[in-house]
Order: sequence, then C-alpha cells, then structure tokens
Amino acid sequence: MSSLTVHTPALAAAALTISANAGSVSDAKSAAASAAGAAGAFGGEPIGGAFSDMCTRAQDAMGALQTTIESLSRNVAAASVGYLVTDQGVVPTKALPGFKA
Amino acid sequence: MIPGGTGGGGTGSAPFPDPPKGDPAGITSAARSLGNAADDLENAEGGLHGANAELEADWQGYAANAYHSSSGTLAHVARGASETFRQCAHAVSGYAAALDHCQSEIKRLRHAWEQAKQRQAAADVLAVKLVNSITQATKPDDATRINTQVTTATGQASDAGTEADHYALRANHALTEFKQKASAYQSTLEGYSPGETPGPFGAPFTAPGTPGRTFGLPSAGFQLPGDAHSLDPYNGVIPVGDPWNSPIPGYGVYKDATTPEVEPVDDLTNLVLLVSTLGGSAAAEVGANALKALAEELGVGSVGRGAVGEAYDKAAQEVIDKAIASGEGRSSSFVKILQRARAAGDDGAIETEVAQHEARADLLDALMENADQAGVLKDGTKEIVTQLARNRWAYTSYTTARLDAVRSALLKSDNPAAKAAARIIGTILRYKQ
Repeated sequence: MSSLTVHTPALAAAALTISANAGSVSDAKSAAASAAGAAGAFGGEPIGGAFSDMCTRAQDAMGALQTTIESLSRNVAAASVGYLVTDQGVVPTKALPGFKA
Repeated sequence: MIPGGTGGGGTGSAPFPDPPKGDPAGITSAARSLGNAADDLENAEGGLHGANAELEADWQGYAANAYHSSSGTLAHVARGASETFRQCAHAVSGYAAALDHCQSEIKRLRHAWEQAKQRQAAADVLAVKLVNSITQATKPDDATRINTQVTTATGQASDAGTEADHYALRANHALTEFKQKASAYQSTLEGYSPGETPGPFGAPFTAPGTPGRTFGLPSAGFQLPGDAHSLDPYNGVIPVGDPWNSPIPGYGVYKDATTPEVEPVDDLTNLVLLVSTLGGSAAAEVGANALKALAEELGVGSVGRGAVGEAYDKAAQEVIDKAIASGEGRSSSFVKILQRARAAGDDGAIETEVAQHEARADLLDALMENADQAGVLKDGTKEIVTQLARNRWAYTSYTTARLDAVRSALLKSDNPAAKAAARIIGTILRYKQ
C-alpha cells in the first residue's frame, strides 16, 4: 500500500468555503421569495401569473442547488476527517471474510 | 373601456381604453430583488471556483477528481441560474418601465380626450340652442345669421369629436404596443425566448448550467456528473462493504490521493533574491544563492512557512481527534467540527507567525542596512523593502538558535561571502539582545 499526504486543513477550509457558497444560494432563494411578495404589484395583469410561477421555480431550483452544495461541503469535510482517520486508524492487514483482497 | 359619445357629425365615438393595471415602483422593487439574487449566485460561482483552485494542489486522486467534477458542475449551474435571474430582472424591470410609460401616456391622452369631448358637447349644446332660437317671429336676416352660427358650432363639435377620436386611437396604439412588449417579457419569465417552441417536458433547456426555465438546473432533474449519487461515497453513511475498495472515508478510496506541498512564492527567499538583483555587483559578492540558503536556514524561507503549516496541522488535528473520540465524527455535524479545528489551527499559526514577525523584519533591516551602506541599492529600495518586511515577517527563538548555529558554521568558512553573511547574522543577534 502506498503512502499518501493530504493537506487536511485545506480540505476543512474548503468545506467551510463551500458551505458559505451554499449560504449565498440561500440568499438568492430569499431574494426570489422577496420578489414573489411583490406579485400584487402586477395588478392582476397576465404577466403577474408568469412572474409568480417564475419565482416559485426559482425558489425550488435554489433549494435544490443549496442542498447539493451543502452536500458537497459536508462530503469534503467528511473526506478531511476521513483522511485523518486513515492516518490514525488500523489498516486491515488482510481481507475480511466474504471480501476479495 | 370608456364609451364614446355620439357627438356631433358622428365623430368622437371611438372608445377610450383603460390603462393597464399595476404599480411600476413595486415591480421595479421586485426586479431589484431578482438582480440581488443574480449577484448572490455570482458570488457562489466565484466561491466554488475559488475553493476548486485552492484545493488543486492540496488534494489529488479519485476522490479529488469527483469533488472537482461535482464542484465544477455546481459552479456551472450557479452561473446559469445567475444569468436566468439577470434575464428575469431585466424583463421585470423592462415591464415596469413599459407599464409606467403606457400608464403615463394613456393618462395624458385621457386628459386631452376629455377636454375634446367637453368642447364637442358644448358646441353641440350651442348648436341646439341656436336652432331652437329660430322661431316664426325671427326675421329672415337674423335667421340667416343664426343658421351660419349653427353651422359653425356644428363644425366645431365635429372637429372636437375628430380630435377626441384621434386621442382615443393613440391611446389604443399605446396599449397595443405595451401588450406586445408585455408578451415578450412574459415569455422571458416563462423561460422561453419569443417564438421559441418548448422542448420535451415543456422545457426548451435541458443541459446543466443553461439559463432558462429551470434556472441552470437540467430539466430532467438535478444530477451531478457520473451518476445521480456521485457524491454519496463521501458522505460517510453508506455501508462498509469491501474494506480494500471501500469508498468510505478512512478506507481504500483514499489510497490514491497525493498532496504535494505548495511551494511558497511570497516569502523572504524571493525577496532576498530580489534585493540581490537590485543590489548589483556588491550583493553578488555576497551571493544570491548564499543569501537564499541563509534565509531558508533562518526559517524565513520555505522552512519558516512550513513551521507555520505544522503548527496549524497539529492544532487542527488535536481538535479533530477529540471530536472523533467523543463520537461527534459519526454525526452529520462535520462542518461544526472542522470549524473548531480551523479556529484552533488559526490560533496555532498566528502564534507562530507573530513570534516570527519581528525577527524577520529585524533580519531584513540588517541585510538592507548592510547593502545600503555598501552603496549597492537603488534609491528608496531599502525603505520600500523594509516597510514590506515590517508588515509581513517575524522572528522566533527557534530562528535565534538557528542564526547562532549558522553563524558559527559560516565563521569557520574561508569563503568571503560566508563571512559577510556571518557578520550580518552577528548584527541581527545584537539587535535581538
């Protein structure tokens, strides 16, 4: 097994940066919700319905994007911890029963 | 719709349209919110690219490739969403402007139309009065004069009616033009370009990152490269499986990772080389390589930088160790754990850097003073470079010990450059005391 070196603090810092980006997406979602609150300003004109639908789609999309970026942040953080666990943990010297080496 | 009057001469009967409803100021405010959302997403895109760049050298291998691929796609989606918000903000803003213009224009035309209609009605009334004023007792000359006035009044009523119709026509044109613009803006909000046929599932855009109806997300659902679960191997919750090829953190998947340390590019080593270059022949006598080696030995070059990194690693790892031992590592709060780790790491790094700061500055002062007295520096170089050093570099007890050791070694050498460096170190140590 070859050895490896990973700059785990860099991964941890990256996880935080990515988490902050999820926050930016959350801000965008809030801005879309704020815009949706102004739908009444369209005065019942046809475009008002399209505007409300657009705001709904935007909020849904931002929710999906935010969730995924948070997942990426969490997984990068997990990877950072995982590398440390690898360094400090017990590496199997042989395959467990039922698994091929 | 306001019904037109019958009017004299059959004119002035064109209906005057109602203005479109809505509050342009409120709609403009909504457009600003959408613009803010676009800005937020641009920030997110930049942050994702930034995190990618920072990890480029610090994380390599299978897991890193998956990360870069996923992060790149997310940044692409954020860009597409930002552009969509920008397009929608532009459309809403444009609609507000068109609405404001249309409402103002129709209001102005309505006022003119009403005045024309009033003139038409007054002339009609006058004509009727004049006609009724002719009786059997009216003298023929007077009747002729009155009939002339009736003709004039009827003509004025007809002209006013024609004018009113003109205003009503212009108002209808303004409304039609507004509706055409509104239709185009509405198409933008619906995610379709004007005249574009919706694609499968009613959405013309399917590729991730494409601006449009789905805000950069693929219309068939949001999936990252590879497969829908390409991030899952790194979330720490899937079964162990084969420990030799497990994607779980801490097992085989990290075997392939390599992380070469990044070479520092802004440390004193480079600065010393710069000074040597600026200094010309006298500095060359000391020797650029000798200065560089000296700087590294003193802990002001890559060695010093490494010391800071080690302090960071040690402090961060201690916190993470504790978190793992307490069982926190098995929860989903990895980010919180690592936030504490980073804070601890920062403290360690700061402690080391602060201790080094003064020493590095003192060292450079001495080097620069020496070179300046030898007349080998260009005017202003010493002041500029030492000012930089005062703001960025430092000193430690470790450095002091290394200085003394290096000084002793250099004094044993017959090389003039080495002896010159030893003298500089002696100066530095005296400053230290």
